Amino acid sequence: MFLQQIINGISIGLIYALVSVGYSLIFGVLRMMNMAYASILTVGAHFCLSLVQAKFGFFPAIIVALVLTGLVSVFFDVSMLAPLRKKTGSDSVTVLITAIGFNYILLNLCLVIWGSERKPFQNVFDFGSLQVGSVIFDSSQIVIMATALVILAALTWVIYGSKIGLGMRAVQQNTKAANLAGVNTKVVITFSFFISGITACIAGFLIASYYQLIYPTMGVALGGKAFAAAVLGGIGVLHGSVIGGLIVGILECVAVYFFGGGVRDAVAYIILILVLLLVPSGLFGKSENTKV
Amino acid sequence: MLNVTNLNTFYGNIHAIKDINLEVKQGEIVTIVGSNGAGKTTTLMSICGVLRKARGSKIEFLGEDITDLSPCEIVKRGISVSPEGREIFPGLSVSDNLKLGAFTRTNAAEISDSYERVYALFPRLKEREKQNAGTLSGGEQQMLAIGRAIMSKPKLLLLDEPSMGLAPNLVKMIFKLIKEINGQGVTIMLVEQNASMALKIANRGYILETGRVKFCDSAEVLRTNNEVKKAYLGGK
Amino acid sequence: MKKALSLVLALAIALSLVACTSTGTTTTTTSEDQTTATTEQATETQNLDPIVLGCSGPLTGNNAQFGENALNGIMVAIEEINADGGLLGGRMLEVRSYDDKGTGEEGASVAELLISDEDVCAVPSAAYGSSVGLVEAPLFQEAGLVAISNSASHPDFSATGDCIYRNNLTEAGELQYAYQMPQVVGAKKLGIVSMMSEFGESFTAGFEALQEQYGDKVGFEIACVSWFTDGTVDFAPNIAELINAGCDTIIFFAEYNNFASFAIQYRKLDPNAQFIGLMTCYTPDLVNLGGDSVEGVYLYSCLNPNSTNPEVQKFVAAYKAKYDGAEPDFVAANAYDSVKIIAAAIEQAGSADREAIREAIKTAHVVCTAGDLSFDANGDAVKSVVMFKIENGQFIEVEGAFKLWDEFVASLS
Ligand SMILES: Nc1ncnc2c1ncn2[C@@H]1O[C@H](COP(=O)(O)OP(=O)(O)O)[C@@H](O)[C@H]1O
Ligand SMILES: [Mg+2]
Repeated sequence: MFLQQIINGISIGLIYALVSVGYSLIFGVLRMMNMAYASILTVGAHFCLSLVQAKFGFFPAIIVALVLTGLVSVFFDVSMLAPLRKKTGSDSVTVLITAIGFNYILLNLCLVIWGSERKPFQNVFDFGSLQVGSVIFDSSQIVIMATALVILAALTWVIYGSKIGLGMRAVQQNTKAANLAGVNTKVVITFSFFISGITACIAGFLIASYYQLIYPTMGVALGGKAFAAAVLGGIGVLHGSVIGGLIVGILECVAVYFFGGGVRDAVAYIILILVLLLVPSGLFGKSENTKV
Repeated sequence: MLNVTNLNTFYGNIHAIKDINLEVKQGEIVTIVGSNGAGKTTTLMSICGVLRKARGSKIEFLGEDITDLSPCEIVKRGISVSPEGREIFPGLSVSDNLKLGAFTRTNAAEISDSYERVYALFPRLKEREKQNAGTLSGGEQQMLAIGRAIMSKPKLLLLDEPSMGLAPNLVKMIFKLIKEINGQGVTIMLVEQNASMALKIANRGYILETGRVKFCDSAEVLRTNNEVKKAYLGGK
Repeated sequence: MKKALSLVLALAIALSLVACTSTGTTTTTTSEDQTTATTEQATETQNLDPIVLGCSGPLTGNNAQFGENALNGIMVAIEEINADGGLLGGRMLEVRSYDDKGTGEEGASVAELLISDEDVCAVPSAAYGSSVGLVEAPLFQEAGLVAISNSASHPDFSATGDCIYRNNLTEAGELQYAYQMPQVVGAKKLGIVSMMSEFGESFTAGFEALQEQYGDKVGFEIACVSWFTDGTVDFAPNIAELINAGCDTIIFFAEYNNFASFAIQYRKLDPNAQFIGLMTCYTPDLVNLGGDSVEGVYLYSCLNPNSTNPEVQKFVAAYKAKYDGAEPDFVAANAYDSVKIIAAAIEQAGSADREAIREAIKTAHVVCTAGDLSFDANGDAVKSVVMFKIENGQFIEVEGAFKLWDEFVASLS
């Protein structure tokens, strides 16, 4: 029973990790909390729903949904954030409010286009379940864990192994110097928004197919907890976000084991506040003064 | 090679650069000296595309108008900069810092030649290849900043106060290396507060005062100019 | 930087809390957007004033389905009455409906809108559920506007006053059927899953009180009570708790959409347990959302669409014809009946004044889907209940499953 909760915690924690990484990616390059991320995730999941229903093949539908969500994320940056960056008077609060605004615009669009009710979403991963001792692995749980791990590995490769990833890390460390070295910061930022959009869509798709449900507010609780996980791990730090996500997921399930279901949603924030009181920059966060 | 005409640059309302004209010829070392706040860094940043220039300003490089190009386009054209305060990437390894210098280049063989060249110039960097740049000493960080600028295989190298905050023996060594890089065919524009050292290795010099060019002549002439001596060379 | 971080954090938490407590707050539809529907059949060239009925319900948010179904039920009744020539010698019925988003705040402002609209003479469908209903009830009572809830089950609702009626089972009434269910399906170890809401908490307490009294006589024990909060999508911790307690039967005290999620997740881990749902789960949407996972679920409702009762058949046929073959649920049927009884009161009083309706409805009765419907002294309708089992996605009646409460108690000893 306890072990079962840990397994449940890991699978939900990996989804938090994916979303959390999305926050960190954008924070890394722009020092900005992408508060529109939860809605981008929701829009991504709804794209999956509509495109799968269009019946031109399951995987092609998902791929189109991924690209579209990436473009929505890029659109957000190009149409709203980029003009703000050019203006001298705009500070981090302006950007933050813009993001929160865009979050609500997307959420409302979702409501208008797809309606507010919960809609069924097919579970393509249902191959029954597997019992190991007293612990039951449900097949969609296994697929979620595997997919999340593959995506996290791919993101790690992009960031630590590819040239554009090097550019992203350079922009994160020192935007001015990256610019001077010939890194096209616009391209790097656009790319970051694109892959964070794709990550959001994958997370939205996994969540929707795991719970077989899709609805416009699906991103709200998830986004909040994943954001907490990102800050917990030290926002901007990739592995910090992954570990933050796992901690939130596991502790949440363990807390339910000890205190019942009512405490569940508060857990992420309680851990977050405790950690921030002890380590203000998060578990793996570097304190700001390392930035030149 | 580089022709700057009527350069005017503003920070908001502050008119930092006023009608500056500059010329750099192939193979030269040109130095820009001036006291703190004279506008040296602003001039460099205007050239390499980070700052926007006022209307009427014109910057030509190898006959091409580069006034409104973005920094990465300008790097591609063959101008690179080792900025004031080094501006290295502290959380990245020394070799990743260098790799970023070659970001606009694609030919892997040529890039690895550039690594060889940088490591030959600065063997210390080779020893610390895997180390995070933030852990390097001040002198080593300066070498890294220059090395990174060289990685783009520039035709014109802009150096902004490479001697700042270094011990005298290190300053000497850096200046020696600058000569050496110039000897390998790289044209150099050297911004310095340490005017005596700069004028020793430069062919020509510009003296900036509150955003304007005060004097412009060959290095020997400037070294012997009384006014320059008094203001910038310790009055000897 | 740290300051900015904590600011953002505070904002994020505040936002997520707002979003958790009221999923409807972000919709574009405001309560001002109203749906007015009139039938085009203007009888002859008579220019009689229409009789306007009011409706409050969630048209967006988690319970939007119920709000929509209630409105649909009203529309079917209105069309039927208008087709028969309207009321009071040819006056047509129409409805003004506002979205209360399933929240108390919006519910209160919708109630105020209906009250201040002098055309509105009665409200055949007040807010969905007891929580919002209890906010609206005192407002309607004070204004002297008759309002009927088709879904509230809280005992206090109809006790508000003589303007407030309940065309639904009371909680105590529903408990008597809910408590029979585990016994009927032969449960041994019962798990209760309940939402932390006014309804969930009071229903669980009521159920446990019955168990306290009859526990040694019935064939089942309560092995586990597992709670969740509104908006939960991941029931894994609840399920682990239930499976660990060895439950063979689960009874679920919340709406169909939560139940569908729960059933899907539960079935993956234990395909054999029996499920019992309440009346709020009796809706075709349960099958749409839950698919195979809700096969074999037992539940009950006041409405049996397959009943041979001609009133039910007429209603179901009209409803399906109007809404593309959609099946009505109990809320739709109750709302239909509520319009019918208000119409009866208007005819009886010979007037569509608020005050006249208030007096007439006390003694009005009408033959409708619920049989011969009238309200008792408490303002509650008397309802009978039928048990169903979901087979191949259909709600199949389990005949003779329920006993009258006294008979049930007598049968235990
Ligand atoms: N970012 C800035 N915003 C406003 N004024 C600036 C900025 N940077 C430099 N200045 C001003 O522009 C002038 C030239 O500065 P700078 O080019 O840095 O001088 P130098 O490099 O010669 O020391 C100074 O008066 C300085 O105060
Ligand atoms: Mg300077």
